[in-house]
Amino acid sequence: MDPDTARQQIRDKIVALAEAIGNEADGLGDDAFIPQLDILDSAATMELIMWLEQTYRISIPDDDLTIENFGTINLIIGYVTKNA
Amino acid sequence: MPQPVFVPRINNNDDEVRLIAVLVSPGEAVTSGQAVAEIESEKATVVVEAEADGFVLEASGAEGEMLDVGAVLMWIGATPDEAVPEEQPAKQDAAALSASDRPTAGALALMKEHGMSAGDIPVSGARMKVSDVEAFIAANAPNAEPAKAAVAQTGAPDADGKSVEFSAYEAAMLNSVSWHANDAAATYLEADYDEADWQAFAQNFRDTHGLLSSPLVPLMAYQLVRHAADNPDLNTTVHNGRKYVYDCVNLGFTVHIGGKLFLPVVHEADGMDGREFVDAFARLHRSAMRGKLQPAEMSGATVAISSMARWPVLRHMPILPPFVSLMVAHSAARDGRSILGATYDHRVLDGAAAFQALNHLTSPNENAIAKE
Repeated sequence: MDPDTARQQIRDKIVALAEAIGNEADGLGDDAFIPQLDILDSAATMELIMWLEQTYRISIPDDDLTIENFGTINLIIGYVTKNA
Repeated sequence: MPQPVFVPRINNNDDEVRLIAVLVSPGEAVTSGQAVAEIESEKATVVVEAEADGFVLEASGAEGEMLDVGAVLMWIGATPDEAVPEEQPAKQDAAALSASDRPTAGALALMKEHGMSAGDIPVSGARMKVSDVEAFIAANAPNAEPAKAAVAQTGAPDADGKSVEFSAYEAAMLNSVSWHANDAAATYLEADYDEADWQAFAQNFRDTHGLLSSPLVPLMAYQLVRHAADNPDLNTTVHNGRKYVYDCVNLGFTVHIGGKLFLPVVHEADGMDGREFVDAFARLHRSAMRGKLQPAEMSGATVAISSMARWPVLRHMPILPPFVSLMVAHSAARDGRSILGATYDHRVLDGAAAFQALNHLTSPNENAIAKE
């Protein structure tokens, strides 16, 4: 998995999920704290998690669903890289 | 190498089954155990599950088509662009298919008597037995009563057509809507409120507990749970002409997945604190999105909530799930104001009680949510 490609894929997915519920997420930075931006509701957040599992073929246990693992794009990349 | 998903045998007498719905599309990623299709025979409707993680390469058959038991229903590959084998595998032996996974004759008879489908019932061993069906019935009373005719129909369709069984999902929807229309005295009212306090409260809860998203609807649902625990009339239904007061508050909430609406249920929610409830709500939501909800996780609701805020719908009037007397409807805000609605069963609740419940939800009650 190329981290730069994955970073762009993840950013595109977050932007698409946000736009699907009427939220603007263009210009989302790699270290922007996603929960506090309020661009993803709980269903969209779960869609993102499932998409990460399917795209990078990883299994994400409930206990790992924390802001320390998924709070920013860079944190997500770190988690996916470690577990892929 | 791509793996085939075979058409399973549902019962001994049917060598063909009808394809009701293909639940996935070519190119779509699936996980082992995920529902990929619905099929039915004369006796039952069942869900076909993927047996491996991967990507759907190709699905056979059109919805409504009769398929041979043991034929290939679908191919699943390790990558989305894997080629489907040109040579079809030998048809899976029908006898082998039937040997271990069909319900016993007694279980089938009991399911038929109670209007149930095999896909509804968890199986404790290799085959579904009478004890599995009896356990399901016992665990789901009064919801698991035999299905009744929805209405005494007069007349009949006056154009040619064919009569087919409902799928498990369709039957559940029919049951809910028919109960709402024919049993409950369903009535609706609403309250107007400013959601800013709820948004601020939910964001603060999210930050305090390190959650990934704002749990506004779960927190509102939990406040409903606490209110219902303090006001048992809200947690009551009518059964056999008598008032039926539930022992616990079980909170049902709507989840819209793949064009279908489900009602997962947080059982014994009144025994949880706010954080436990939010976590249980999220777990069920995630399970629903994975297509892994078990029947027991979708039964036994005693109060319910529905949110259509993400679409964004400004108001909606929910259908009461069977044996539920109050269902709250959360909708999107416009110009800083939101509508909170409630459908209620007027046989056990009057308008004042329903409005009082709604009014209680128009602002967060920190003390109720902080309950330990």
